[in-house]
Amino acid sequence: MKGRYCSMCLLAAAMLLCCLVFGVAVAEEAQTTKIVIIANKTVTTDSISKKDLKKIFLGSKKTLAGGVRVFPVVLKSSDTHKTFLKTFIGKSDNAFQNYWKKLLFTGKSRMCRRSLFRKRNSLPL
Amino acid sequence: MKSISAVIVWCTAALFSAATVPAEEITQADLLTIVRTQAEQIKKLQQEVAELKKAYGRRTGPTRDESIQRIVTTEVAEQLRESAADTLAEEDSAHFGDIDIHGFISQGYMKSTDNNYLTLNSNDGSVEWHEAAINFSKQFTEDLRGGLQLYMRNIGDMGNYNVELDWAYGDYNWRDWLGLRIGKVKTPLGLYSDVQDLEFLNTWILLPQSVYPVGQRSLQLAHIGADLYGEIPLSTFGSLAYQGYVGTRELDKYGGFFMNQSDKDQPIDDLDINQLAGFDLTWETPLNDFILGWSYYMDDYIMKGHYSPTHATKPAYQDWIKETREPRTINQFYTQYTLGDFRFDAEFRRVLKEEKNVINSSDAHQDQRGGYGALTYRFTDFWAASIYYSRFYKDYYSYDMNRSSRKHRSDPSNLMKDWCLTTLFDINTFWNIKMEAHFIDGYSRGMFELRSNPNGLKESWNLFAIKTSFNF
Repeated sequence: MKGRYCSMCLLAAAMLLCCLVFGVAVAEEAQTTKIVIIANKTVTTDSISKKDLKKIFLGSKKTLAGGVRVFPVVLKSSDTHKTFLKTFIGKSDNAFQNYWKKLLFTGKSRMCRRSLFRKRNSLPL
Repeated sequence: MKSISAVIVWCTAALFSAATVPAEEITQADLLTIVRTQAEQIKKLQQEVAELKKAYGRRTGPTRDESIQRIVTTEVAEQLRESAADTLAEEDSAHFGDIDIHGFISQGYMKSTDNNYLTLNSNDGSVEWHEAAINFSKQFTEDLRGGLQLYMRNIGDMGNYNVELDWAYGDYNWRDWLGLRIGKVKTPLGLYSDVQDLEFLNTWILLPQSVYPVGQRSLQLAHIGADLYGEIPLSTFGSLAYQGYVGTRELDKYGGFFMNQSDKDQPIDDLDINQLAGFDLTWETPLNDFILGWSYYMDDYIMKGHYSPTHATKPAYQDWIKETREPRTINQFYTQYTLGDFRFDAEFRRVLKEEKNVINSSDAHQDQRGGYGALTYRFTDFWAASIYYSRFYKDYYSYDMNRSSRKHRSDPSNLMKDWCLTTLFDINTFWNIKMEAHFIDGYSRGMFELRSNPNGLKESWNLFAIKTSFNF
């Protein structure tokens, strides 16, 4: 019994150590990327709250004022994409993809499309 | 600066017209059109650029700024073309015509001390743990979509690679606050009920067994009926997502529930769920990424079976019939809070069951309670780790099913406590590997003692598991 709890504590300590090491190693980069949200020309809305934007990119809001249907399209994996997700959606790229896969594999939505740009430099911002 | 702004405007306009405009309807044909259009534009612009360069060299014609603007524009157009081609390639991999096809396959290994678990020969180490699924879906119109998923598993004696219809339904999303699903729909119970088979989407290999038992997954997995769902904005109070449903259910004949009955020499011949209803409410609080939820479920059922010739006391092949005296109810409360790379989950589930044996008029009452708390931290996109503590009471008031005797609530056959440590490695978007250690006290769930542990069970035992999954 004692040995069992010892091994449990050792495993937890190893995980904590890894946490500290990686936590230092993976320091956040300065996020200075400028984000521009673009939409269909039929979308007449010229402003949107951060809350609504998050809901659109998480698939829970599909209709804008005036009944216009929207579906999110995101950049391919890039620093710009990651900054956008962290700033506006509050998720890492991995968590964002998992979120959409959950909807997909339960039949609630199709996958959020990734297009058209791969790199931040693809847009002259 | 003005010229750069003009380029941005141009680029935005190009995107409006070419790329994200029909975001919901990007098809192969659309993308081909985009590529062709961009190719034509590029050709035209390249000719212009050549002329402009020539003109700029002669110091006549457009100004320098205008020339640069057009050159930059050409570069943007070129990148658009390349990206559109990339997108086309990406879309092709997941499309067959207009139908989306996705799936996953996974392989696990389990090693335990002392007790065998989930019908696996885990004491010796077992790799008999396979799961796979494939789904097909199509967006018919902006409001209407449909699809189905086929799923199979083999975990020890459970599943036996039997292919089952996991879900299949049509979904009409009229407004954000009202939609309708008809068919076989995943039942919303707590945070993970509808994704409990999709282990590659969760941090853990084994979800907390107090709330999501692998052996009894089909008991609350999916229902056949109609669902209403939507999300209602509550202004400054956040929003409320709801899902209500009525229908019936089919149980997995290759699952733990049927197997347990057979092991007890009381095999089930027929199980009808007469009616089933429930709802799920998720309140997205004003506090960012903090949700609170309540799921409620009720059903009525009648089970018919017979006693096996090997039954200790009952005459061979004598029928037995059991039905719910009161509807069986499940109340599940849950919360999730995400703060940066930390995520906290907690759930509590209570199952109340009152069964009547129609033949001998005896009653059985059961009050199952289980819950867990979990903390997960994502270090990098590649790596996450989690810890949870889960506790389960088979019957909180510790009566046996016939109310003839009373056990102590903490009796190991009634209680299961589980400390779990997990680490997850996302090799890439499609492939992950997980490792997990469990330190368990008690054996009230998933042991299948008559089948897998005929020599008895040990109260304190450990379990180690590795699992890898590929999805597309």
